[in-house]
Amino acid sequence: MNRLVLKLEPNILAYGFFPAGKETPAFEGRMEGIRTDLSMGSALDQILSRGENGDYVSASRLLVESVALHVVAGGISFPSHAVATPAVIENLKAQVPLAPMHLPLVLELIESCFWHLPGRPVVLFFETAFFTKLPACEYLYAINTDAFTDSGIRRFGYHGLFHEAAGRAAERSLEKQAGLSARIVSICLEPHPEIAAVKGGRPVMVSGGATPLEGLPGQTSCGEIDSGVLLTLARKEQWGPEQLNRLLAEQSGMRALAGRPVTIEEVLLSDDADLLLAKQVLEYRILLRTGMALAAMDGYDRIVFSGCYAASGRLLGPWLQEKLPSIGTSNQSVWQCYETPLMQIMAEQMDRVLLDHSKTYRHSHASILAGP
Amino acid sequence: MNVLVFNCGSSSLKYRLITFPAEAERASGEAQRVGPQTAEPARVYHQTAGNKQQVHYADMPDHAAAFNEVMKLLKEDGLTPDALGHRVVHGGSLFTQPALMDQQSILQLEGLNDLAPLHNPPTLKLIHQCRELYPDLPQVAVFDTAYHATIPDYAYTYAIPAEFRRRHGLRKYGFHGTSHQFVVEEAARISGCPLTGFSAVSCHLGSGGASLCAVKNGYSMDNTMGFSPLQGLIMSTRCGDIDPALTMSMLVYMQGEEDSVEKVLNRQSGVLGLSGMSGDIRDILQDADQDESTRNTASAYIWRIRKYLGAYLAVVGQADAVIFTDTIGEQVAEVREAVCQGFECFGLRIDPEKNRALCGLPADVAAADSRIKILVVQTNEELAIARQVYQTLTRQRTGSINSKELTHEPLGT
Repeated sequence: MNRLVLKLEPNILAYGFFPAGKETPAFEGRMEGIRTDLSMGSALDQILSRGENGDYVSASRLLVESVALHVVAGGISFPSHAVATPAVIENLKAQVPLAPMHLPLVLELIESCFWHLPGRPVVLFFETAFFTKLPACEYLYAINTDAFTDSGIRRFGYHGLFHEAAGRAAERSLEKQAGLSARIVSICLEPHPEIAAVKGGRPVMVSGGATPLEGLPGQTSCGEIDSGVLLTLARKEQWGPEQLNRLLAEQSGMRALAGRPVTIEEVLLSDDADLLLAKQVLEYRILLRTGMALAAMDGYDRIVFSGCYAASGRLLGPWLQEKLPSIGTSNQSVWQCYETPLMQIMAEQMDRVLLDHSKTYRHSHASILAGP
Repeated sequence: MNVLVFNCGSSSLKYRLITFPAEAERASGEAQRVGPQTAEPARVYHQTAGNKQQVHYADMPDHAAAFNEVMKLLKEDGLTPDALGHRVVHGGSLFTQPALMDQQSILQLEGLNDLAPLHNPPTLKLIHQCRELYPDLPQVAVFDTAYHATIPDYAYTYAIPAEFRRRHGLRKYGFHGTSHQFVVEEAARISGCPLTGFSAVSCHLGSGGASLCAVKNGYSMDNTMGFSPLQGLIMSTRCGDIDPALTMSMLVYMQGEEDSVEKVLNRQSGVLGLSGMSGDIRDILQDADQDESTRNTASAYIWRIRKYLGAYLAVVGQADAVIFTDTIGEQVAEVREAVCQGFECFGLRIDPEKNRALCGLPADVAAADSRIKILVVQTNEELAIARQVYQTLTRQRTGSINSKELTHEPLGT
């Protein structure tokens, strides 16, 4: 099946066209200025036109058979990826408070897909779906929920697609005996890095929180921080939540420690003295979280690095292996890099999700083809 | 030398008089209901060595009045202190050692009130009162944060812009340092290891506050508490680690009232916030089979300790011991057993029977084949403070490690 994969980032719509049976995209790119210079519908139209004018002669618009759409947060209502039916869309609308900047754009994009590609199923891939299976002891926060309007506050984790796919790849490489659960430390090296412990294919710990702000520091996000710091900043600087959020989400992390914009990869690979503190803070937090993952699984069988900076795992892997308790294979590497891009992960899973959906809704095929 | 140690709580004043160098306790007690009048009268529970505890009732509208009552009771027993020691919660980055409270030190300490607005001011007030009434009596402040002065920059730095870190002193300080230091030194002694070669994870599990400390070669290299005591473990009524976005949501919900948010995070969260029933984990464990809420509270409380135990065992490398102390750590075998299960990858294994049958402290409750000891050690913060007062006044700072002499091994890849 020919697949068009779409991913929304702030002001950007990234895309990739995966012809049937191909693992790599025939064409891919990023449309910038979404909503500022370009409506969602025009952006999608231009993407499809690019395909028609390129190597895929008169191909894309007619040959796109399904669309995969990346969704950052879906809450506990979406424990698995889902085909966008009217009922699913209604459910998604109810989740908007979880990601108020992101989900309205997703809903708009779904509408645009229905308009420009009528009859093609749109599959929603939720980053949070994997983490709906976290145990209660890990997802609960010890706060009085009377202090919130939403009492459903819990930890999620925000790179479920990478963790799930990388965990599976690591499990395959282990050739575990039947009945034994593989214990995988999954380290996703994205601009918001995240560590998860995956045991027998299920997550048992994750560094991300109710939002991607918690956990490891990112390229511009603070990671773990004492609540007292926020309250002090609010008092002393007389800041409201918006200013705090701007500081902690956009001006913190590696950028703050390095004193300039910098990527996770640059920090991890650099020997530059200016980046030393940033590098040590990030490495130290990775070591702490890896220790937590070991506590969740009483050890580990494999460490796997994924994400756009997965290759940096070649430096981190041997270092972590040396720091952690030996697992009886001291001469062998116990880590691996899973360098498959996110869009490819989504494209690879399309057929399976559609098959599952058609099994569930065998008698209501029309609902897959929901359109305007 | 008779050292009188004070530990100032929000509405209490604990004290202990210890004679050095014998370390013999001569008197101890606690003034309760200090401050505005309550339903019951204010009182001092006072006891001298070898005698029964007495209750003395008196008006104590503030800590200065409580101090006067304590001094009166000691005088009646013929006991005179030669020096005073004070537990001070926050020493900031300035006080990394016990400090003689002269005019300059007091001024410096006053400059740190913003870091611990609830805890430091009552102690400072007491120090002023003591200076006024007994100007010749030396006073030494011992700081809860001082032991953690050796935490390396990569562990204490929050990833926020340097300008704000510097302007408001925003960094991890760590707390419970006096207790962690005391039990670590005891554990090294029990293990027959020189302190400079002793590595451990110290679990100070109080019925109120709680923290874990990663100890490498005798010095603190991390603590679960941070800039304030809010960070880290799930405590009685404190939240521990939470997503910063949740604090921001609360600020929105409470219309920007920081004090209200702080009250929820400090006094209505933790075990109490999760269970909605009690802030004491012992009550929760007793009822853990009753309903889902208590089960979840118990498992979240234990899991948070286990998470940090794993993290710190990874950081410390070859640990010699895991140490349990304070009310919950010393008295609740169930917590120790649940925390230590599933750490065989680190060579840690508890002996459940030995753990449950524990009757005297200190004790090692590790299984015979455990590579790491599991030591249950009674903390004694007042004795630890008194020792530091004595050592400061007689210039005998031995055994402990001076942070200035330390160099951390490189961390990086």
